[in-house]
Amino acid sequence: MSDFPFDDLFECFLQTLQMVGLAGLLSFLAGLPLALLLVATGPKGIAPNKVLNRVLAAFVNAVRSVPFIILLVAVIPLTRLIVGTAIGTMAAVVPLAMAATPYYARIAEVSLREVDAGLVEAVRAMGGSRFAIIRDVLIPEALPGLISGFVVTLVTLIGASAMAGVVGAGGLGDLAIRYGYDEFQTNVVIAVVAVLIVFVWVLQFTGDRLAAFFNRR
Amino acid sequence: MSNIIEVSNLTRRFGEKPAVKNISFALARGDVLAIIGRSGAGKSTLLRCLNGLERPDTGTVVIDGETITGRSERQLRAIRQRIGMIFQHFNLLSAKTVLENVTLPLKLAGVSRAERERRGEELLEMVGLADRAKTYPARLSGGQMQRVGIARALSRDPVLLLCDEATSALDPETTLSVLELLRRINKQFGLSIVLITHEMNVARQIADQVLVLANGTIVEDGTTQSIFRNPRSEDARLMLRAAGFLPEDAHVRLPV
Repeated sequence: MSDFPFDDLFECFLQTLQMVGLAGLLSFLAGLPLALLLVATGPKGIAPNKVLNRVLAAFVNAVRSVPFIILLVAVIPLTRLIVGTAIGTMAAVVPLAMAATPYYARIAEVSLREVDAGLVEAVRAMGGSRFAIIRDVLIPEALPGLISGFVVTLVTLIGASAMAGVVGAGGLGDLAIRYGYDEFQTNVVIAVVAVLIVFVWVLQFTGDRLAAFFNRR
Repeated sequence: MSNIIEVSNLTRRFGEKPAVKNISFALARGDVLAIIGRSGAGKSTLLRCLNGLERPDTGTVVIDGETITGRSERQLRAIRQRIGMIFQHFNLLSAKTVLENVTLPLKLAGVSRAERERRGEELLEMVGLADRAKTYPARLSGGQMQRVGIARALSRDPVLLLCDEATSALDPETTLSVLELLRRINKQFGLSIVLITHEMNVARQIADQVLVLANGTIVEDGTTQSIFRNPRSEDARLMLRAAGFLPEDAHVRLPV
């Protein structure tokens, strides 16, 4: 056990954390407005716009159709433009965020759509603007679902980040492949899986507690 | 005194089919109007034309001397702030406390937090829920929720209160107490009220004037007494009979 690569395990965990954390943050910041736009421009939304709605839906579907491993390689030129390099942990954040944004947008869209139309009407009836409807009705009423959906997105990102080894991003998935698959060190693979199980559990537990806290129904 | 509502030749179509057609009526300031009719008669559409939630295809709606038809959404928002509305299913925001719900119209109007809370507590006092300010709507009974809805609708001192089947989800006792509250508000502040209902009883207990709506048109328009004593339309007679007011004993049950 003396040659067990604890340092590597720790470093790779930090890399996974960095990839999932940054890509998660970006997908939330871009995905929530995208979801709001999808809902608002829908046929029963607060700003119906058939053309914009179809364009957004088509864009979201298109990005979600591309397998992540292909997206990872396909966006290399864009990654180079944004990060300055196409290799390393930061470079993997770009494709991860690109894949997670439409994913989260669709999940958030479902939660926002489930908000009772009567509540929107009530705020319209009191003279509320569309911004007020978003701020005081849609987001607070959908918040538990928006939080749970974000946890689902983060867990999916952990899985996707395992493929990021392709662009030299490191991370736990990459570690498992290097030691476990290439060098037959099964104990490293088991350790990686154990760390991931605990990581996902902590995320899910925190998310569930937060969602329950904000659910007043 | 001028009328609070003047509607003339109002028509609203959904597709080809008109939901309400060629509606004209007026309501005197300070009066309570009940619009009754079966489901699908067009009550809800008509009510929503009164605050611009529905845009009529033709005709005009004048509220408190101001024509609201043909206005932009921005102008309509300003007008709606002076018209309160309550709903069958209360439509309280589950993520906000009772006090936050009541004062939301004030928040949208940019009133300071301190002033909002002062006014909110006053309103909750009036509807008898002063001790529930910090609770969330899910912990209230139906009658309490509708009281919160009423307090919210009154928070900006409206000139008119619209009630969309406001008692239809409540049991008979609670219905009575909510109607009593509405009547008290009507008397105390001289607030004009329009309520839509399919229950003849509700109309009888609270309304000064009754409109009977059938298939999108007005089949009868008169004082509550005249309609209960002497219904001229077949629709009104049928609804009165269904509610147990007809045939011969109708006048016996009416307060004279």
